[in-house]
Amino acid sequence: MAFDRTKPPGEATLAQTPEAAYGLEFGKTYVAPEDERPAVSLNPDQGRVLAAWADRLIPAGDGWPGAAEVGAVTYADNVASRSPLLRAMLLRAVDLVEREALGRHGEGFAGCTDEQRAALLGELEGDEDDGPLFDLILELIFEGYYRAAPVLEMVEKRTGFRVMAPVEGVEIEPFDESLLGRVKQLPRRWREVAA
Amino acid sequence: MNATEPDVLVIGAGAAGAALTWRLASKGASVVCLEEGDWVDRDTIPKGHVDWEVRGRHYWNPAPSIRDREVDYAVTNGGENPVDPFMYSAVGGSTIGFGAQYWRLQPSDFRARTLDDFGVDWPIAYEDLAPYYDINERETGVSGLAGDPTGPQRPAPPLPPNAMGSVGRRWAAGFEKLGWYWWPQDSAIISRDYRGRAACTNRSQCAFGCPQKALSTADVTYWPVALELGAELRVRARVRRVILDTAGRAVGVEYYDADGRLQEQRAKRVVICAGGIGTPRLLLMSASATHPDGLANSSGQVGRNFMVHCQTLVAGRFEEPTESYAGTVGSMSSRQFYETDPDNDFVRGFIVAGNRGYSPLLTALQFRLWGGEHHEKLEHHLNHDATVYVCGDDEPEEHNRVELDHGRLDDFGLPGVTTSYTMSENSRRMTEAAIGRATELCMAAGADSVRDFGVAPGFGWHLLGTARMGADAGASVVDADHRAHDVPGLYIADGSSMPTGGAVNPAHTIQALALRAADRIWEGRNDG
Repeated sequence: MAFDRTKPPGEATLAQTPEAAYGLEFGKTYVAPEDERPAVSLNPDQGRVLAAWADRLIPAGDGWPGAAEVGAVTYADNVASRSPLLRAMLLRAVDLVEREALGRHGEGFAGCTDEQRAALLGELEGDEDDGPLFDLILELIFEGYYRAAPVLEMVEKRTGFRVMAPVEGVEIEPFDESLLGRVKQLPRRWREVAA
Repeated sequence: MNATEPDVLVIGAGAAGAALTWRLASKGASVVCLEEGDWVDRDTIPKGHVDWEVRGRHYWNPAPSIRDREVDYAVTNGGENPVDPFMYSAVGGSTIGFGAQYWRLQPSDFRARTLDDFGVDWPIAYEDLAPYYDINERETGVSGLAGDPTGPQRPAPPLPPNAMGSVGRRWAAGFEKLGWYWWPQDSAIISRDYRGRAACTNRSQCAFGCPQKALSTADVTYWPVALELGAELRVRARVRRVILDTAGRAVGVEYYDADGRLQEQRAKRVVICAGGIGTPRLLLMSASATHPDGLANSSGQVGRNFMVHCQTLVAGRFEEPTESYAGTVGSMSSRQFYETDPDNDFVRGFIVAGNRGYSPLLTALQFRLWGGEHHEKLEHHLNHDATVYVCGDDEPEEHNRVELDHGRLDDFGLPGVTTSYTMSENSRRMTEAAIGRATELCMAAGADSVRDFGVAPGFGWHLLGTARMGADAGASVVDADHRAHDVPGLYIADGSSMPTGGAVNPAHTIQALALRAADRIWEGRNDG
């Protein structure tokens, strides 16, 4: 079991299946940017499905790049390929949405409309058994997206979050002791106890 | 001195083991410390890299079951409110990923049973520990300010408070609007250059490591000096049991060395400093015919009374940017609600600490919003959120415990651990109240919306109470001097020693206890 941190904040819950506990695999699956390789586990067709999936999770717009164009699919493929469980889940997820798309719309997932893709993914997200497949893909795509240089550039431009500050440091306002003027005048507030 | 039999053998090189080893070595004791982890490869510290957020979720993950390195053992969690223990097997122990909030306990924390019919009293008082808080503040380099009216007077910390940034000023304004007591947060993060370490440059997100060593992790504070003083530290040394002589005295341990070979190390005294989970694990693994329920466990208290504090977070969203890329974890904190208030529906109390905001990936994952609204949501919250941390006094209860897990073995066939935790009604009510106060603070500070992480988010940052000290050998594991009631020659000094947890981050207290234990061990070196 492991913590299911893929749900919104609230009471802690435990994952009840190996797939729901996929997060346990993360410790061994880091891939450095310089070690990324072209698709390891996904064939070209599967790569196109995941690219469409990634762009549905994080689409381009308003100056932001889409997830696929910044390499999030390659990242997800590389990370998943370092764990038998994650690799199996990745491939099953891709094949599942492709099969569902063909069955319902007569088109592969990548050929579906935005609305059709969103509906398929929304269903998968809420599925009691296969929901962890969606969760895994979301986490990997988000990770790949938010470490890509063009995205970090946009993060800084659009939010003011200085992405290099945690790496290089930054100056901020020093402590101002004059703010404590009132508190310093307050009476003592703690219980004295006989030793 | 017998070269193969040091005065003291220490198990665990974390917050407690480092401080205790240094103190003993500085007095001239010969000390050997066995640590199951290794030195942190500083090139791997996430914040040395642009993708620090991703690294922190993978190999730097604070959960041992996720890291799953050969030096980690599995920890599986249950109970009605399972916690997710955050711990590191490494030189420096769990300080490697800590926030370095260095609070002292209050005098009332040592007498919670007498004052509030809560938990148990400690066998020592605040005054016993105060001199060791002073030492620890000097040795680790605490930044802060003397004069807080919500605690006993104390010497000025060696360094001035850390930079506050705009969010610190915001929290101060919130506290002032509410008329609460507040004070700049004491941190073991050096605000000026100190003893060869460079001052903090406000890189934020301290749990992702500090490449420049401004974060006072035990591997950069106590260990370098302890080694210079002659202490010996053996890493990747996996202890499997404590050895007793025929008289029942602890005389050493068996351990697997870095090459996986069984070794034996003897010493005049053995001190376990393996933390709130590692310590009961080793005691339980050391069960024998004469100690069938585990070593030092005639009271049945080993592994019980597992406390994790009543911890959660409340996040406010502000229209103005919050500089969430900068600053130490804490900024301004309040002990307004620390002591028992008869108007409450719970006893004991909590702190309210104004912290910083979140990072890009974490923000995205928190909301998990995908599709067309993804960017809008991120832009709304990233660099506009700031969090309030609340930490309350958790009740020690026997049913909350740490046990061996023979179903999940480590690389040497040693058992993993299960934890079981169910929050008491008092803790639940206290946390609900704390969330309410934190929400008040956010609104007073100008938040336009507030969200919280629930009453029991499972934060396992503070692991306490599982081999507690006490005067009653029938209800505790060690005495006031950290000597095991049952086993001569065996000492325990770490978070497991704490009978109650107070309502503050415990690292400072854990190290103060370890320093005091070192003095007691040294003073009693000629005793039996």
